[in-house]
Amino acid sequence: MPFELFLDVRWILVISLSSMTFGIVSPLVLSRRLLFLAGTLPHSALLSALLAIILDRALSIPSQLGSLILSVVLVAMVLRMISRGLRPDVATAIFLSLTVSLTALSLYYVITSFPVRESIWSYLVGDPLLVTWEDVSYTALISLMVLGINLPLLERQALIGADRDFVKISGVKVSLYDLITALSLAIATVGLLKIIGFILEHVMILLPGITAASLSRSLRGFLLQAFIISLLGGLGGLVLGLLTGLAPSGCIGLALLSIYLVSSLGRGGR
Amino acid sequence: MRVRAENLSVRYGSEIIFDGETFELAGPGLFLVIGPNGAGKTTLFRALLGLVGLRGRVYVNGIEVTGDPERAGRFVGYVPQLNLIDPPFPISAKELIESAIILRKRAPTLRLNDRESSLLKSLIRDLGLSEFIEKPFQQLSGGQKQRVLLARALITDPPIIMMDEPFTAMDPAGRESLIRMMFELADRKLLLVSSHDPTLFLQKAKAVMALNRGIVAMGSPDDVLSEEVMRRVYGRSVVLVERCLHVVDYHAV
Ligand SMILES: Nc1ncnc2c1ncn2[C@@H]1O[C@H](COP(=O)(O)OP(=O)(O)OP(=O)(O)O)[C@@H](O)[C@H]1O
Ligand SMILES: [Mg+2]
Repeated sequence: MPFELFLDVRWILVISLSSMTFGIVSPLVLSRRLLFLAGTLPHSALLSALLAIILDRALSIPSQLGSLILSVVLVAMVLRMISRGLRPDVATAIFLSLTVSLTALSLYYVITSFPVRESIWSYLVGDPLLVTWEDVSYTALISLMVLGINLPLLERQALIGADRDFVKISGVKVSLYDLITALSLAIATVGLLKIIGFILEHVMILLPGITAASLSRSLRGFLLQAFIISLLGGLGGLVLGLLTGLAPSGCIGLALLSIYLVSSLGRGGR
Repeated sequence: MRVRAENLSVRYGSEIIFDGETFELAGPGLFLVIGPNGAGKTTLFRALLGLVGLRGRVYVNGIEVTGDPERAGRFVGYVPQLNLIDPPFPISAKELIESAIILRKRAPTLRLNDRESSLLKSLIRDLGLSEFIEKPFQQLSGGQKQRVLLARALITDPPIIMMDEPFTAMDPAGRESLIRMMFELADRKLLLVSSHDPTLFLQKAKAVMALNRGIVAMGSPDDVLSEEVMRRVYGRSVVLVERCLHVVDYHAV
């Protein structure tokens, strides 16, 4: 039998959109010195999604809206702890203790109390292969919003991370950019949770930026490469998953890791 | 061109760095700020630029800029202390210099125009940046970085320039060419420069401000660089070598 690969256009769409979004979220997190958030953002996203399911049942607040609001509140909370002078690692530890405990409680509650209409599973490992057209439009909405707002500002955002004082005296309203950063991270991580999953989000936040930073020699190159690496890893991992019959989110993680390893070997040889 | 502070007070928590200082610097000319580590040199620059919370008022060219970095930045070019600049991602020297112009533009025109490009070219030539202009800032030597930061401050051609320890990491040849350039600039601009090596400037400085948690002395180089004042500023680090005053700032080495 000739080699055949079935690709549903919906899979390609959600993976492209999500990996493009992380293709700017990742360098944003790195350039704004927020790498410590890479470990907390997936946690706050998962907790928001779970609490939103409960709120949906209890108060019929649509869970997609509820989760966005909760995520914004949680991210604002951790950033506020730091702006109040707490060290990032301490803030992270406190925040993780809180979110992990609440996640365990709400996960147990959701699984035991509600017949599983929402797929908790996909929040954990991500499931691009089960998406409906409704999921596709939601993913597109989140992605285009985050991409649309951040693409034109990305270079400035990075410059703030390089020299905040200088950007301020150059007339840029830095606090507005801080707000945009917090909102974008909160929205992207919870909005794409169902596609990417809690586990893979850790990798998608970290690796594209780190790989691009190690490869490039300029700011523009860094931003462009992070975007391309994320997209390549996403689509490559999807195809790999379909070929092997393994979970796409795991394959995407491995694809991103391979890109990192190959690039660091390449640098070693130069 | 003038920089004026009225009743300037800055504190970090309970630590008082400035307590009600009033002074005025009238340019053009070179003004020197000296003082040991932790004296408040960087804090003074950042306060004048509106980058730290403060009490009192700051005027630049008669316009109040208190706590307003955007307004202060219209008149002032800033060369921050070298060790405070460490971008967490690659950025080429050229991009860093151009950012001073690009940040002031509005999208979508995020490129230099012809006049700006030729200004950049002449800075690259005057500061000898051509060898490393495309290199990532992180990979430059200390002296090269210093020159890039200076170019970034100069490219907007501001009437006032503040340099925080610009000689850090510079070799003797680099120092000499930087001093020559500063003397030239001081004919047209107001330069406020902090340094741990005041002897470099003595002949040219219009005034010297000696800091140690507040302004200990301010005036002509001859007045301020007296043994008595230096002892108040630097304490025991002042040594007299054959009646020639040396400030040995062990922390700065
Ligand atoms: N952001 C800050 N928060 C708390 N304290 C600060 C902060 N910045 C500076 N300080 C304190 O204020 C004092 C003055 O610091 P400043 O950096 O102005 O000194 P400096 O004269 O520039 O020293 P150096 O020669 O080492 O550069 C120091 O004791 C420092 O610890
Ligand atoms: Mg300093």
